[in-house]
Amino acid sequence: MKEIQGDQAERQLPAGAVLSKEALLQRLKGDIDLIVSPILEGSQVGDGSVDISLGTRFIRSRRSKMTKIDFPKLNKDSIRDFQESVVVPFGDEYILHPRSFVLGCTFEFIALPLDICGFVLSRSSYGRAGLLIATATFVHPGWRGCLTLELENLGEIPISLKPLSTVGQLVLLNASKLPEQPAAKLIPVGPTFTALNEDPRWKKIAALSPK
Amino acid sequence: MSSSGAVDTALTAGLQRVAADAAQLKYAEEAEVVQKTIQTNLTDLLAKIRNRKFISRYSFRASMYHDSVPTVLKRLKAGVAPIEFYDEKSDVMRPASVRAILNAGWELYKTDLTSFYANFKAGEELERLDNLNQLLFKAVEASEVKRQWK
Repeated sequence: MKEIQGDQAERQLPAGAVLSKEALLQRLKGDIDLIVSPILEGSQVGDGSVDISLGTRFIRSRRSKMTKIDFPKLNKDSIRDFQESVVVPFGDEYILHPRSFVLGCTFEFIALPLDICGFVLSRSSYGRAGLLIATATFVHPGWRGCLTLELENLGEIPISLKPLSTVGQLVLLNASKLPEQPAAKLIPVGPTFTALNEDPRWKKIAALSPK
Repeated sequence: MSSSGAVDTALTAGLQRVAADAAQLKYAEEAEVVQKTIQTNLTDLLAKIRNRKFISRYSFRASMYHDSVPTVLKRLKAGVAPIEFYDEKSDVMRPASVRAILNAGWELYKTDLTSFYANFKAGEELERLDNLNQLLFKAVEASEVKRQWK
Protein backbone atom coordinates (compact mmCIF):
# COMPACT_ATOMS: atom_id res chain seq x y z
CA MET A 1 0.00 0.00 0.00
CA LYS A 2 1.26 3.44 -0.85
CA GLU A 3 2.04 5.49 2.23
CA ILE A 4 0.04 8.67 2.05
CA GLN A 5 1.26 11.55 4.12
CA GLY A 6 -0.83 14.55 5.06
CA ASP A 7 -0.67 17.76 3.14
CA GLN A 8 2.68 19.43 3.75
CA ALA A 9 1.08 22.81 4.35
CA GLU A 10 -1.13 21.29 7.07
CA ARG A 11 1.91 19.68 8.65
CA GLN A 12 3.54 23.06 8.97
CA LEU A 13 0.69 24.36 11.10
CA PRO A 14 1.83 25.59 14.50
CA ALA A 15 1.50 23.22 17.44
CA GLY A 16 -1.98 23.52 18.89
CA ALA A 17 -3.69 24.22 15.57
CA VAL A 18 -6.84 22.18 14.99
CA LEU A 19 -6.65 19.99 11.86
CA SER A 20 -9.14 20.60 9.07
CA LYS A 21 -11.51 17.91 7.81
CA GLU A 22 -9.48 17.56 4.59
CA ALA A 23 -6.25 17.11 6.53
CA LEU A 24 -7.86 14.53 8.81
CA LEU A 25 -9.29 12.55 5.89
CA GLN A 26 -5.94 12.62 4.14
CA ARG A 27 -4.05 11.39 7.17
CA LEU A 28 -6.63 8.71 7.97
CA LYS A 29 -5.81 7.18 4.56
CA GLY A 30 -2.16 6.78 5.53
CA ASP A 31 -0.69 3.36 6.08
CA ILE A 32 0.22 3.72 9.73
CA ASP A 33 -0.30 7.39 10.40
CA LEU A 34 -3.45 8.70 12.06
CA ILE A 35 -5.80 5.81 12.82
CA VAL A 36 -9.36 6.05 14.11
CA SER A 37 -10.82 2.74 13.03
CA PRO A 38 -13.35 1.69 11.94
CA ILE A 39 -14.92 4.78 10.39
CA LEU A 40 -18.48 3.53 9.89
CA GLU A 41 -19.84 6.69 8.29
CA GLY A 42 -18.20 9.55 6.42
CA SER A 43 -20.03 12.06 8.60
CA GLN A 44 -17.97 10.87 11.59
CA VAL A 45 -15.06 13.01 10.41
CA GLY A 46 -15.59 16.73 10.80
CA ASP A 47 -13.51 19.88 10.93
CA GLY A 48 -11.00 19.27 13.69
CA SER A 49 -12.58 16.18 15.16
CA VAL A 50 -13.71 12.60 14.68
CA ASP A 51 -16.86 11.28 16.36
CA ILE A 52 -16.23 8.36 18.70
CA SER A 53 -18.69 5.71 19.77
CA LEU A 54 -19.19 3.42 22.70
CA GLY A 55 -17.66 -0.06 22.74
CA THR A 56 -19.14 -3.23 24.20
CA ARG A 57 -16.94 -3.64 27.25
CA PHE A 58 -17.52 -1.98 30.61
CA ILE A 59 -16.02 -2.10 34.08
CA ARG A 60 -18.53 -1.36 36.78
CA SER A 61 -18.09 -0.75 40.48
CA ARG A 62 -19.85 -3.01 42.91
CA ARG A 63 -20.55 -2.86 46.59
CA SER A 64 -17.90 -4.64 48.59
CA LYS A 65 -16.53 -5.03 52.08
CA MET A 66 -13.79 -2.58 51.21
CA THR A 67 -14.10 0.42 53.51
CA LYS A 68 -12.05 2.80 51.39
CA ILE A 69 -9.97 2.89 48.25
CA ASP A 70 -6.42 3.26 49.47
CA PHE A 71 -4.51 3.52 46.18
CA PRO A 72 -1.00 2.53 47.34
CA LYS A 73 -2.42 -0.67 48.88
CA LEU A 74 -4.44 -1.74 45.87
CA ASN A 75 -3.47 -4.83 43.92
CA LYS A 76 -5.06 -6.82 41.10
CA ASP A 77 -7.13 -8.90 43.53
CA SER A 78 -8.37 -6.02 45.63
CA ILE A 79 -9.24 -3.98 42.53
CA ARG A 80 -11.43 -6.85 41.37
CA ASP A 81 -13.15 -6.84 44.78
CA PHE A 82 -14.89 -3.61 43.89
CA GLN A 83 -14.79 -3.57 40.08
CA GLU A 84 -15.95 -6.18 37.58
CA SER A 85 -15.92 -6.50 33.78
CA VAL A 86 -19.16 -6.63 31.82
CA VAL A 87 -19.69 -7.14 28.09
CA VAL A 88 -22.86 -5.71 26.52
CA PRO A 89 -23.64 -7.31 23.13
CA PHE A 90 -24.37 -5.12 20.11
CA GLY A 91 -28.05 -4.18 20.11
CA ASP A 92 -28.31 -4.49 23.90
CA GLU A 93 -27.90 -1.72 26.49
CA TYR A 94 -26.23 -0.85 29.77
CA ILE A 95 -28.41 1.13 32.17
CA LEU A 96 -26.48 3.81 34.01
CA HIS A 97 -28.43 4.91 37.05
CA PRO A 98 -28.34 8.44 38.52
CA ARG A 99 -25.08 9.20 40.36
CA SER A 100 -23.65 5.92 39.06
CA PHE A 101 -20.30 5.47 37.44
CA VAL A 102 -19.00 2.95 34.93
CA LEU A 103 -15.85 2.67 32.83
CA GLY A 104 -16.49 2.17 29.14
CA CYS A 105 -14.28 2.37 26.09
CA THR A 106 -14.37 3.63 22.56
CA PHE A 107 -15.40 1.18 19.88
CA GLU A 108 -12.80 2.81 17.64
CA PHE A 109 -9.19 1.79 17.87
CA ILE A 110 -7.11 4.95 17.93
CA ALA A 111 -3.46 5.49 17.02
CA LEU A 112 -2.09 9.00 17.06
CA PRO A 113 1.04 9.83 15.08
CA LEU A 114 3.95 11.56 16.76
CA ASP A 115 2.82 15.04 15.69
CA ILE A 116 -0.86 14.95 16.65
CA CYS A 117 -2.46 15.04 20.09
CA GLY A 118 -6.12 14.88 21.01
CA PHE A 119 -8.82 15.79 23.49
CA VAL A 120 -11.92 13.72 24.24
CA LEU A 121 -15.09 15.77 24.52
CA SER A 122 -18.61 14.72 25.47
CA ARG A 123 -21.32 15.07 22.87
CA SER A 124 -23.43 17.98 24.05
CA SER A 125 -26.72 16.15 23.43
CA TYR A 126 -25.71 13.50 25.97
CA GLY A 127 -24.28 16.13 28.28
CA ARG A 128 -27.65 17.85 28.41
CA ALA A 129 -29.18 14.57 29.56
CA GLY A 130 -26.63 14.41 32.37
CA LEU A 131 -24.04 12.06 30.89
CA LEU A 132 -20.37 12.85 31.42
CA ILE A 133 -18.04 10.65 29.38
CA ALA A 134 -14.50 11.57 30.21
CA THR A 135 -12.46 13.13 32.95
CA ALA A 136 -8.94 12.37 31.72
CA THR A 137 -9.40 13.94 28.33
CA PHE A 138 -5.91 14.47 26.93
CA VAL A 139 -4.53 11.90 24.48
CA HIS A 140 -0.76 12.02 23.95
CA PRO A 141 0.97 11.96 20.56
CA GLY A 142 1.91 8.35 19.72
CA TRP A 143 -0.83 6.85 21.92
CA ARG A 144 -2.44 3.60 20.72
CA GLY A 145 -5.51 1.64 21.80
CA CYS A 146 -9.18 2.01 22.65
CA LEU A 147 -9.74 4.96 24.96
CA THR A 148 -11.18 4.33 28.40
CA LEU A 149 -14.23 6.52 29.04
CA GLU A 150 -15.31 7.44 32.55
CA LEU A 151 -19.08 7.49 32.20
CA GLU A 152 -21.11 9.15 34.89
CA ASN A 153 -24.81 9.93 35.09
CA LEU A 154 -25.16 13.32 36.78
CA GLY A 155 -28.89 13.51 36.04
CA GLU A 156 -31.98 12.26 37.81
CA ILE A 157 -33.12 9.59 35.36
CA PRO A 158 -31.36 6.35 34.31
CA ILE A 159 -29.56 6.57 30.96
CA SER A 160 -29.44 3.73 28.44
CA LEU A 161 -25.94 3.28 27.01
CA LYS A 162 -25.90 1.42 23.70
CA PRO A 163 -22.73 0.09 22.09
CA LEU A 164 -21.91 1.91 18.83
CA SER A 165 -23.86 5.04 19.82
CA THR A 166 -21.87 8.23 19.23
CA VAL A 167 -21.14 9.58 22.68
CA GLY A 168 -18.31 11.98 22.05
CA GLN A 169 -15.68 13.36 19.77
CA LEU A 170 -11.94 13.27 19.58
CA VAL A 171 -10.59 16.74 18.78
CA LEU A 172 -7.23 16.49 17.01
CA LEU A 173 -4.51 19.13 17.09
CA ASN A 174 -1.03 19.53 15.68
CA ALA A 175 1.73 18.96 18.22
CA SER A 176 5.50 19.35 18.26
CA LYS A 177 6.74 16.08 16.84
CA LEU A 178 8.02 13.49 19.31
CA PRO A 179 11.44 12.02 18.41
CA GLU A 180 10.24 8.41 18.56
CA GLN A 181 7.23 6.19 19.22
CA PRO A 182 6.78 5.92 23.00
CA ALA A 183 6.72 2.34 24.31
CA ALA A 184 3.44 1.23 25.84
CA LYS A 185 2.88 -0.87 28.94
CA LEU A 186 0.06 -2.60 27.09
CA ILE A 187 -2.15 -1.57 24.16
CA PRO A 188 -5.70 -1.50 25.55
CA VAL A 189 -8.66 -2.71 23.50
CA GLY A 190 -11.14 -2.29 26.35
CA PRO A 191 -11.52 -0.20 29.52
CA THR A 192 -8.64 -0.62 31.91
CA PHE A 193 -8.71 -0.87 35.68
CA THR A 194 -7.00 1.87 37.65
CA ALA A 195 -3.23 1.43 37.88
CA LEU A 196 -2.73 4.15 40.43
CA ASN A 197 -1.20 1.62 42.84
CA GLU A 198 1.84 1.50 40.51
CA ASP A 199 2.52 5.23 40.89
CA PRO A 200 6.15 5.50 42.15
CA ARG A 201 5.21 8.66 44.02
CA TRP A 202 3.50 6.68 46.82
CA LYS A 203 6.85 5.46 48.16
CA LYS A 204 8.19 9.00 48.27
CA ILE A 205 5.05 10.21 50.06
CA ALA A 206 5.32 7.34 52.55
CA ALA A 207 8.96 8.21 53.20
CA LEU A 208 7.90 11.66 54.41
CA SER A 209 5.41 10.37 56.96
CA PRO A 210 6.50 10.41 60.65
CA LYS A 211 7.71 7.02 61.91
CA MET B 1 -4.22 -46.34 -14.23
CA SER B 2 -7.39 -44.20 -14.41
CA SER B 3 -7.04 -40.43 -14.13
CA SER B 4 -8.70 -40.37 -10.69
CA GLY B 5 -6.33 -43.15 -9.62
CA ALA B 6 -3.38 -41.04 -10.73
CA VAL B 7 -4.72 -38.04 -8.83
CA ASP B 8 -5.18 -40.21 -5.74
CA THR B 9 -1.63 -41.47 -5.97
CA ALA B 10 -0.27 -37.95 -6.37
CA LEU B 11 -2.39 -36.65 -3.48
CA THR B 12 -1.41 -39.53 -1.23
CA ALA B 13 2.24 -38.91 -1.98
CA GLY B 14 1.77 -35.17 -1.39
CA LEU B 15 0.03 -35.65 1.94
CA GLN B 16 2.64 -38.16 3.03
CA ARG B 17 5.33 -35.59 2.22
CA VAL B 18 3.47 -32.98 4.31
CA ALA B 19 3.26 -35.47 7.19
CA ALA B 20 6.97 -36.30 6.85
CA ASP B 21 7.88 -32.58 6.71
CA ALA B 22 5.74 -31.99 9.77
CA ALA B 23 7.73 -34.60 11.66
CA GLN B 24 10.90 -32.60 10.94
CA LEU B 25 9.46 -29.33 12.22
CA LYS B 26 10.90 -27.54 15.19
CA TYR B 27 7.57 -27.50 16.99
CA ALA B 28 7.26 -31.16 17.89
CA GLU B 29 3.75 -31.10 19.34
CA GLU B 30 2.22 -29.26 16.40
CA ALA B 31 4.02 -31.52 13.92
CA GLU B 32 2.58 -34.52 15.69
CA VAL B 33 -0.91 -33.08 15.41
CA VAL B 34 -0.48 -32.45 11.67
CA GLN B 35 0.92 -35.92 11.11
CA LYS B 36 -1.81 -37.68 13.09
CA THR B 37 -4.56 -35.61 11.48
CA ILE B 38 -3.38 -36.55 8.01
CA GLN B 39 -2.89 -40.21 8.89
CA THR B 40 -6.31 -40.51 10.52
CA ASN B 41 -8.23 -38.61 7.87
CA LEU B 42 -6.36 -39.54 4.71
CA THR B 43 -9.34 -41.14 2.98
CA ASP B 44 -11.70 -38.30 3.85
CA LEU B 45 -9.14 -35.68 2.86
CA LEU B 46 -8.65 -37.33 -0.51
CA ALA B 47 -12.39 -37.45 -1.10
CA LYS B 48 -12.79 -33.78 -0.16
CA ILE B 49 -9.89 -32.68 -2.30
CA ARG B 50 -11.30 -34.65 -5.27
CA ASN B 51 -14.61 -32.91 -4.71
CA ARG B 52 -13.34 -29.46 -5.55
CA LYS B 53 -16.19 -27.68 -3.72
CA PHE B 54 -14.10 -27.96 -0.60
CA ILE B 55 -11.17 -26.19 -2.19
CA SER B 56 -13.11 -23.39 -3.81
CA ARG B 57 -15.08 -22.59 -0.66
CA TYR B 58 -12.40 -22.74 1.95
CA SER B 59 -8.99 -22.37 0.39
CA PHE B 60 -7.01 -19.20 0.98
CA ARG B 61 -4.90 -19.15 -2.13
CA ALA B 62 -1.34 -17.86 -2.17
CA SER B 63 -2.34 -14.89 -4.31
CA MET B 64 -5.07 -13.94 -1.79
CA TYR B 65 -2.54 -14.30 1.01
CA HIS B 66 -0.01 -12.02 -0.70
CA ASP B 67 -2.70 -9.48 -1.60
CA SER B 68 -4.21 -9.06 1.84
CA VAL B 69 -1.95 -10.32 4.62
CA PRO B 70 1.11 -8.00 4.33
CA THR B 71 -0.98 -4.83 4.86
CA VAL B 72 -2.70 -6.34 7.86
CA LEU B 73 0.57 -7.70 9.21
CA LYS B 74 2.26 -4.30 8.96
CA ARG B 75 -0.41 -2.75 11.18
CA LEU B 76 -0.29 -5.60 13.66
CA LYS B 77 3.49 -5.33 13.98
CA ALA B 78 3.07 -1.67 14.85
CA GLY B 79 0.66 -2.58 17.66
CA VAL B 80 -2.44 -1.49 15.75
CA ALA B 81 -5.59 -3.61 15.59
CA PRO B 82 -5.80 -4.29 11.81
CA ILE B 83 -9.48 -3.48 11.36
CA GLU B 84 -9.51 -1.77 7.98
CA PHE B 85 -7.16 -0.49 5.31
CA TYR B 86 -7.22 2.15 2.62
CA ASP B 87 -8.07 0.82 -0.83
CA GLU B 88 -6.36 3.22 -3.19
CA LYS B 89 -8.23 2.01 -6.30
CA SER B 90 -11.68 2.80 -4.93
CA ASP B 91 -10.56 5.52 -2.47
CA VAL B 92 -12.38 3.93 0.50
CA MET B 93 -11.44 2.24 3.76
CA ARG B 94 -12.20 -1.47 3.47
CA PRO B 95 -12.54 -3.89 6.38
CA ALA B 96 -9.83 -6.53 6.59
CA SER B 97 -11.06 -10.08 6.08
CA VAL B 98 -11.16 -12.43 9.04
CA ARG B 99 -8.87 -14.83 7.15
CA ALA B 100 -6.29 -12.09 6.55
CA ILE B 101 -6.42 -11.03 10.21
CA LEU B 102 -5.95 -14.57 11.55
CA ASN B 103 -3.22 -15.40 9.04
CA ALA B 104 -1.38 -12.19 9.87
CA GLY B 105 -1.64 -13.11 13.56
CA TRP B 106 -0.10 -16.52 12.91
CA GLU B 107 2.62 -15.11 10.68
CA LEU B 108 3.58 -12.57 13.32
CA TYR B 109 3.52 -15.20 16.06
CA LYS B 110 5.67 -17.62 14.08
CA THR B 111 8.15 -15.28 12.44
CA ASP B 112 8.49 -11.85 14.00
CA LEU B 113 7.26 -11.47 17.56
CA THR B 114 10.31 -9.34 18.32
CA SER B 115 8.96 -6.52 16.12
CA PHE B 116 5.67 -6.67 17.98
CA TYR B 117 7.36 -6.69 21.38
CA ALA B 118 9.30 -3.55 20.40
CA ASN B 119 6.06 -1.60 20.96
CA PHE B 120 6.15 -2.33 24.68
CA LYS B 121 8.09 -1.38 27.74
CA ALA B 122 9.80 -4.28 29.47
CA GLY B 123 7.21 -6.62 30.90
CA GLU B 124 5.95 -10.16 31.00
CA GLU B 125 5.93 -12.01 27.69
CA LEU B 126 2.60 -13.67 28.47
CA GLU B 127 0.92 -10.29 28.91
CA ARG B 128 2.21 -9.12 25.54
CA LEU B 129 1.09 -12.32 23.85
CA ASP B 130 -2.33 -11.87 25.45
CA ASN B 131 -2.30 -8.31 24.10
CA LEU B 132 -1.64 -9.67 20.59
CA ASN B 133 -4.67 -11.96 20.95
CA GLN B 134 -6.78 -9.02 22.12
CA LEU B 135 -5.73 -6.90 19.14
CA LEU B 136 -6.69 -9.75 16.80
CA PHE B 137 -10.01 -10.21 18.58
CA LYS B 138 -10.72 -6.49 18.34
CA ALA B 139 -9.86 -6.51 14.63
CA VAL B 140 -12.16 -9.47 13.92
CA GLU B 141 -15.03 -7.91 15.89
CA ALA B 142 -14.73 -4.39 14.45
CA SER B 143 -14.10 -5.45 10.84
CA GLU B 144 -17.21 -7.63 11.00
CA VAL B 145 -19.26 -4.68 12.32
CA LYS B 146 -17.91 -2.55 9.46
CA ARG B 147 -18.90 -5.23 6.92
CA GLN B 148 -22.43 -5.45 8.32
CA TRP B 149 -22.95 -1.70 8.82
CA LYS B 150 -25.62 -0.31 6.48
